[in-house]
Parts: sequence; C-alpha cells; structure tokens
Amino acid sequence: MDMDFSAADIAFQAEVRAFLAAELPQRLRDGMNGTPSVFVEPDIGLEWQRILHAKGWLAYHWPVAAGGTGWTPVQRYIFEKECALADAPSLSVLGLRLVGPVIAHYGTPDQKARFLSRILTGEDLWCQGYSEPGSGSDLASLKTRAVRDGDRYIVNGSKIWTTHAHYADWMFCLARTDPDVKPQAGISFLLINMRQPGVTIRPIIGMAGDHEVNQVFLDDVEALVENRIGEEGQGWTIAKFLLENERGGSCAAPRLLADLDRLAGLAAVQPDGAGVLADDRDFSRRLARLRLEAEALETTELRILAELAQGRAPGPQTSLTKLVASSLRQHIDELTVECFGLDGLQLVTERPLYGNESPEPIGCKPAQLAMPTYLNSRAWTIFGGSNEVQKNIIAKTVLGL
Amino acid sequence: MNFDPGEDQALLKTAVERFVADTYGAAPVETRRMAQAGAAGFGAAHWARLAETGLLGLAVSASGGGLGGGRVEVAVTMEAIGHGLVAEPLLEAAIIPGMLLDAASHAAQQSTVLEGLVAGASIVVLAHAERAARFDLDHVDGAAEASGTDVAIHAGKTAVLVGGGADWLIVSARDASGVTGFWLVPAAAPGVDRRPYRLADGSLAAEVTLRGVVVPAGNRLAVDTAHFTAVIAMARLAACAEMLGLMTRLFETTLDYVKTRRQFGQPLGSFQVIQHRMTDAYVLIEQARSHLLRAALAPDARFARAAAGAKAFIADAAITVAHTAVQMHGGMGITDELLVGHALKRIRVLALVFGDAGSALDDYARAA
Repeated sequence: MDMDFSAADIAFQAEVRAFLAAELPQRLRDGMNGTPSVFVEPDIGLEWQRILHAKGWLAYHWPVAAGGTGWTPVQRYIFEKECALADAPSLSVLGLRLVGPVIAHYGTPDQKARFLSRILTGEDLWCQGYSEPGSGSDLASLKTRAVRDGDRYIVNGSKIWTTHAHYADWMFCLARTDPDVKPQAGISFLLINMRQPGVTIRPIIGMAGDHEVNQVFLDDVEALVENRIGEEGQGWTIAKFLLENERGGSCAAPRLLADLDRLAGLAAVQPDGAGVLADDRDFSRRLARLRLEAEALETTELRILAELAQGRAPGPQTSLTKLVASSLRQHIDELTVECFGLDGLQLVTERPLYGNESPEPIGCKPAQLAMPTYLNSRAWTIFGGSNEVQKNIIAKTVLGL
Repeated sequence: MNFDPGEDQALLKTAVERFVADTYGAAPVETRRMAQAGAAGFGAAHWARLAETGLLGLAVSASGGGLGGGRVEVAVTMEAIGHGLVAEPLLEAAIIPGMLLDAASHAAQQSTVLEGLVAGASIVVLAHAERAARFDLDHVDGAAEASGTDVAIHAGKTAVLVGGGADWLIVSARDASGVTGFWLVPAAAPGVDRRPYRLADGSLAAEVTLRGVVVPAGNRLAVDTAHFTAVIAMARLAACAEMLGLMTRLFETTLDYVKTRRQFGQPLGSFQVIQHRMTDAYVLIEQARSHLLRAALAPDARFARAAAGAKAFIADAAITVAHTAVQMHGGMGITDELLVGHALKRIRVLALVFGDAGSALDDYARAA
C-alpha cells in the first residue's frame, strides 16, 4: 500500500506544470481569481478552452474515440490539481462535462459528428434544462411537455436555475413525452436550439448581484426528433448518467486546498492590532480544522481514483464527496469573509471584478471578492442535488435504510 | 417577575409596527431596494416619518429633546425594525450618535446638531473603526493635536456605517495625553476625504481619511471611556434586537414555505430532516430572545457584560438561522428576489459591527 505517484505520473505532472507556466496567460488567472460567481464568464472560460483545445487536452473527460485524451484517472487528477494551483479558469461544465459525455455515450454517429466538435471549439455554448419551478429536488415530477408532430416535437414548459442560458446556443432538456406512464418512464432527453421563436429568458439575479442563472420559458418551441438523444422515454436513464458526472467524476479537494493556502497567505498580512491575523489562535485553529477536512477529502477522492484506475466501479463515495466538498466550500468562503474584518462587509454589484475597468476595492482586491463569493457559495449545497437529497441517497443506497 | 412589555412599551411597539406596516408592509424587498437607492442609502421620506414619530430621539434624554427610552425601549423598537426589514439606520444614525451627543449637549453647537438629528434634518454617524483595529474597539491610532483653540485631527477610519451620506462625523482620536476622545466634525470640512461604498446589506458606508482636519477644541464631546463603553453596550443590544427581529421574520417565512412547497407529492415540512432543521432554528431563536432579555433587564453594573454575551450568542445564532432559511428555500433562497437573502446580508453586517462574535465573547469572558 502506498500513496505515491508513479514515475510516469511525476513526469506527466512536470509536463502539465511546464504547459501551464508557458501557456496560461496572466489575464486568465486574474479573471479566475476575480470571479466571485460559481462559473466564470465566457470571455475568460472560452479563451482558456481554446488554449487547451489547441493542446489537445480539452476533452479529457471524454472517450478517446470522441476526442478524449486517454488519461488515466490519476493523470486527470494531476491535471486538475495543477490547474487549481495555477489559478486556471474553471471550464464550462455544461458542454464539456455534462452533455458532451452524454452525446459521446448515447448519441448516434450523426449526432456525435454534428455536436461534439462544436462543443470543443466553443462554437456552441450549452445550457441545462432540468429543474422546473415545481420540480427541484423532485426532478422526476417535471411538467415540460413535448408532443410529437411528424419529425419534430413541440415543447411547452418552463425551466429554472438555467446557468448561462443567456449565452447558450443549445439546451439539453428533459421533457415529458408520455404523460400516461410512471413519471420516470415518460421523460425524453431533447436538444433544443435556443435561437428560435418561443424561447424567452428571464434573468434571475443572485444575492450578490451576479447574473448566472435564468428562468427559461418554452412556448411552442421546436425540437427535431433527430436531436433526441437515446430512445423516447429513455431520458431518465440518461439524466442519471449525466447527474453522476455532475456530482462526481472530478476532484474538488485540489481547488479547496489551494484556496486554503491563499487564505493562509492573506491572514499572514491581514493587520490585527500590533500583529497579523495569522497569529490569532482562534483563526488559525479554524483554518487548520478546514485544512484537515480538505485533506481527508483529498484522500477520499484519491481512493475513488484508485478504484477507477484498477478498473473497478467507484463506490457510493461520489455522493459523499459532493456533500463534503460543498459544505467545505461554504466554510472556507465564510472564513475568508471574516479574514478581512470589516473590509469583508463590502459588496460591489458591478461586474466584472477583474480587468482595468473593475471598481477599486476597499482595502485589498481579495477583500472585495470575499462577500460576493460567500453569498454565491450558498448555492453549493443546493444545486446538482441538495445536501438533503445527497444524504437520502447515501442512507438508502449505502446504508440500506 | 414579568417579561411582558409595560403600557408605554406596548404603545411604542405598536407605533413602530405601524410605521413598518405602512412603509415596508406590502412589499418589503422592493421597498428596501427603492429606499437604498436614495442619496444617503436609505429612504428620506421614511426618515422624515421616523422623525415625526419621535423615534430618531429614542435613546436621547427628554432634556435633550428625545423620548428618553432605555434598554427595553431600544430592544422593543429594534426588534420590530429588524422584523420589518427596514433599511433606515435607526441604530447607526439615531441611537449611537444620539447617545454620544446627548452626553455632551452642553455646548451650543452640539445641542444644535443633536436637535437636527432628532428632527431628521442632519445625518450624524460615528467614525470609529480603523483597519488595524480589526474588531478591537479600544484600538485607536487617529490623533488629535491641539493647535491654539483648535485641534487638528489625523485619522484613517473604515466601515463608517451610513457614512456615505452623513452631514456630521463623530471621530475618535487620541489626544495629547493618549486618551481617546470624540470630536464632532462636519463631513464637508476641508481635509475630510470620504469614499462611499456599499456594504453587504445595501447600506452606504464610507472610508474616511482625515488629514489635519481643524475643528474648534470645543467640538470635543464630553464622552469618556466609561460612557463610550455604555454606548457600545447599547449598540450591541440594539444590533441583537434587530437580528432577533430578522431571525424571527426568516423563521416565519421559511415555516410558511416548507408548509406550502410540495416535492415528492407532499409538503417539504413533512420530511423529518426539514422538521429537525426548523426545530433547531426555533430553539436558537428562543435562546436568542432569552439573551436579549437578559441584556435588556440586567442591572446597570452588569449590562456591558450581558450585552457582550448576547452579541456573541445572537450573532452566531442569527447566521445559522439565516443559512437554514436559504437552504430550506432551495434555489429561490440564493436569489435577490426574496427577503431571505436581504435578511442574511443585514445579519452579516450586524454580526460583525461593534465587535464580532469572537471579540464580544472575549469581552464577556473577561468581565466574568
């Protein structure tokens, strides 16, 4: 038993580091660090995506046949960790992590040819049509209706919490194609062109003033039958495949640990009477406790990777890591607000907070980012399956309760 | 023993609740947003109405032109203000400066400024916090140098609450003997560099730099350390009461939501995990109310300690209840559309000002 990387992994790590040092522009690092919302804006994310695509490293979650890198789970981990340490922008999960693998797995050759490469080039931006105003945690109760009309469906309904719908060219959408069977069996997975009449987008502004999510109204919107993924009624199976990718499949600990390092660095220069905050015993204990939790998460994630690397199915820990990572994220962001004392109370609603036009902070730039980051971070225990739902899954499937 | 409000206190409570119902009652979030869009960061018309009801002089003695309210009156009023999500800074621009000026209203100018405050004509705020002080209320690096019959003040003040639209600042600084004093400074005086900015709760604070600002020596308020400690204790009590009102409002809203919102074919509130989280919030609110009452009713000699303890307890409890309210509302909870987020943001500010939970806990422990 050991926790070491192989020689090949260490060589790969060096290759990733060299690439990041050479190819990741400072502007993008600043953009990532200056983003208080959960997702980076396309001006930052797409540029990084193009750089990675040119290197052939973009679709590392995809099968090789679809353009994937063929990396081992450990290599994927190393790549994500080095990206986190280098302040690389987070990649848009919607196309790359969510619908891309779905199309690669369930799509027809024609669908793969039409959609996959445009996700990689950034020509198509995607949004997710899952939740509805009446269907949050209880997703299977969704009411958006798709009625077959020759070679197309006519779709009516409303989707909510639709991240970046205001940028999206396409929506992958769960819609009810058969209202007469049990709820899960009547759902289909449709790809809907967002640039058509009948699609209305209402922005939903978050507590910090960020516009990330929307409500999308679909009024007699057209979805071609050739843009249905899988069979009619197979939507729930595909949705679960996708949700597993959303909830797991990526390691959270590297970025959390990197943020804890940043917080320690900030506390070391934050004035506290005659000294600095890092010397405050209460603060340093709270920071240390969060680090312990993050280190445990890192090792739990590595245990999952080791299972995958040996060709075994990952256990139910994927549900556990979302639970741990989301509350850890919130505790780190809360402690970061407190790190800045009264400066942590400032809240600017102008965006972006990076670049030459960004408003001057009170105190330092990280102090300006702390409050909006904390407020947006309350979403982590809600989206992608709330913590209450995650706990129910663990109780039912793991504990047999 | 009797925890019910007395007759006058009940009348006061009714008056404040009437103000809240008439102004914020129908649409609290929209009203708050519109009020905060005003030049000073709160509603001028609301402020005028608070002046008419006499509430701007709540903590000012009758001889100073106020209502002469004590701790219970402050607690009753501020709880209703919190419950209503009121944006008008009764704590920051009435209670605190009112008490500081009242102590010292012998000088003609100070009494004129106090009259203006009570009448709603002038906005007066305390400029005390400094960046290096963090939450230590005794830490003042600002200096006041005597210069004939004047003083010249050098100080860097941060998080001056409601400072963005203030007419007068009460600035703390150390005098030649190193004693902390408080000087009344016109916000427009030469050498006052003011940078307004928004806090999480939407209020308009300011960072204020004073570079040799000259005011008459007579602008020093007759406020010593003991008096300042008493004002801070009252500020803490008021912040606690406002947080209790906000917590109660969050709880009521959330309880209503989990009773009506249905998922999996039943109300959210029928799930045990939701019931337990709501029960935990209920317990915290009852415990918080007990701490508020302890502080409001403590003997004078023990008031400062009780207020510190209440601040430490209620700050943490209020944040926990607010986080629960956000989580129970799901996606809706993280939007700017519900009062839930606005209450969380106001609680965040109240929890940190006049000493965060940690420093208030230190004060409480030290005074034991």
